[in-house]
Amino acid sequence: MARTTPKGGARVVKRKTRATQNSVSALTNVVASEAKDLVASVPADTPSNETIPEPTEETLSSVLPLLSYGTWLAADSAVVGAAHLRTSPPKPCQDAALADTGKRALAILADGAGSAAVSHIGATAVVAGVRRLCRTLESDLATALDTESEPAGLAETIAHRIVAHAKGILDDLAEMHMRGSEDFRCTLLVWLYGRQRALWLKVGDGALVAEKNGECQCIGPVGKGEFANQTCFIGPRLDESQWAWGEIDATQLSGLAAMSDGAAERLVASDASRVSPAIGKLLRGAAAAQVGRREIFNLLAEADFWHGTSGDDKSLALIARALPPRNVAGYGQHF
Amino acid sequence: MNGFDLALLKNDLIENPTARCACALVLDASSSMDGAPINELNAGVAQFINELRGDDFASYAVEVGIFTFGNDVREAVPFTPAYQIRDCAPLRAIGGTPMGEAVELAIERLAQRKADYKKAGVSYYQPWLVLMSDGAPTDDWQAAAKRLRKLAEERKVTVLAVGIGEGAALEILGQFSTRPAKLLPGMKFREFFQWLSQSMERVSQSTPGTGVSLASTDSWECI
Repeated sequence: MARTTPKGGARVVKRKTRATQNSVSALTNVVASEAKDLVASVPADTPSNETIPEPTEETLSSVLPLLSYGTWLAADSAVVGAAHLRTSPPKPCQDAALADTGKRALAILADGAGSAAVSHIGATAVVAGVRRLCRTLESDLATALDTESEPAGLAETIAHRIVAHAKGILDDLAEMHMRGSEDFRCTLLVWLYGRQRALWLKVGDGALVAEKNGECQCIGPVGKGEFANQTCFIGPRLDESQWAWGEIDATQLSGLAAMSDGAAERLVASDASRVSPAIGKLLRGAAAAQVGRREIFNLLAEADFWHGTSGDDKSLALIARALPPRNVAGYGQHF
Repeated sequence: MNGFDLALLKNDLIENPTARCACALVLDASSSMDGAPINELNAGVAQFINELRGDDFASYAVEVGIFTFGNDVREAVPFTPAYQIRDCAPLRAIGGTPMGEAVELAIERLAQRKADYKKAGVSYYQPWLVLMSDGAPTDDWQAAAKRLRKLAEERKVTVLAVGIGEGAALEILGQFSTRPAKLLPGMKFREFFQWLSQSMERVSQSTPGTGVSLASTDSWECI
């Protein structure tokens, strides 16, 4: 049965057409039922006057894996640490993690200072506020990260704005709650993806990981002071020398992850020289829509995995995408 | 979401070495400690090590080094994780009180241990140096006191100076630290070392950004 393009169907067809042109064979890792859901979720505003056949399960299974090529998927979670449960009353989880693939794929994570009374509020507010800022700065981000030649100094300006904004959020909280902004202090880790470059920003400890060409590596400084329980935070005492930012080329970039130091205890080497293969598997799982918030939560909450660690809060935010296999014509041009 | 087996990740996780916390005990073994004081001190040290060994985390994290000053200055126990300390020979009280030389030795060994940590990629906490004496030094102690105090001011080391009994030169001991020396009355070694082991456990399990709140010293300190 033929019919006029159904709502949302055009995008599927276009992908299928390109796939056929590229002679890509079926790579099925999305089941047909999920495929139907995806079709249903494609926006209805895609203009097309093509007449296309009703998709069958067979065609969907061959087409839908290609839908995820280049499409970022996100997963995040934060779990209270066992050490926080030993105090009376127990401390809340002071980590906040957010991964988002809306207008721009990003991962933001903040770890509230253990000794700060209400740092969980600070961490949550900073994560939400930085995402809001990034949405507001979208046109600048597009210029800085999506264009082939970046205007000099723009990314640096954005990084400074993010840190200044995060500081301002804590100052506002301090005023609102009538206490010092030190009480809200937290670390901040940010990944912002762009078609040409990905921007990272790191205030304090935790780990940033990028997966490129199928390999994961830590990005940025370790972020600890000389001693194991020293780090720096977004707060009134933060100075320029205590935080770092940078950009990495986005070609063949397939995953970005941010994690608090509690999660990093088992997921990266303490000197940042190695990344656990688990991160790569989680990123591939996320890209295949097999790892979401629940899976991240289960990982972070599984006591067996974290035996012998400090019992700190653990959080992880990641974004991942599938890339076409290397033997596909045109490979590398768009990814 | 389906099809992702978390159990498969377990073997992928990284076993980072436990962050270490070095604790140097610089102990008076001069002749004035002979008899009950040295016996109680020995019992207190043994209890300290046993209590650390009883804590899953601290037994690996806390490394104890014991330095004595009496007839000579000795490194009785090089820095060793508590769980590995098997036999700690009882200290014998004999000779003078070369406190300055012992402190210099402990500082050198702490610096060396920190260098070892860095070389091995092991993170570490601010080390502690506990100085205990029942009298006054008999050597040139001023340079050692100045050096140790400077390290404490720079927050490179936590120094705790403890005078044993009423005869202790608390004013001199206080010059080794940024805080006044504390008086341990009535040979409350057990109470003191119990407090010390609890404090080391807390330090060794502190996380970045966490201020370490130590247990009250009421159980042993004479105010």
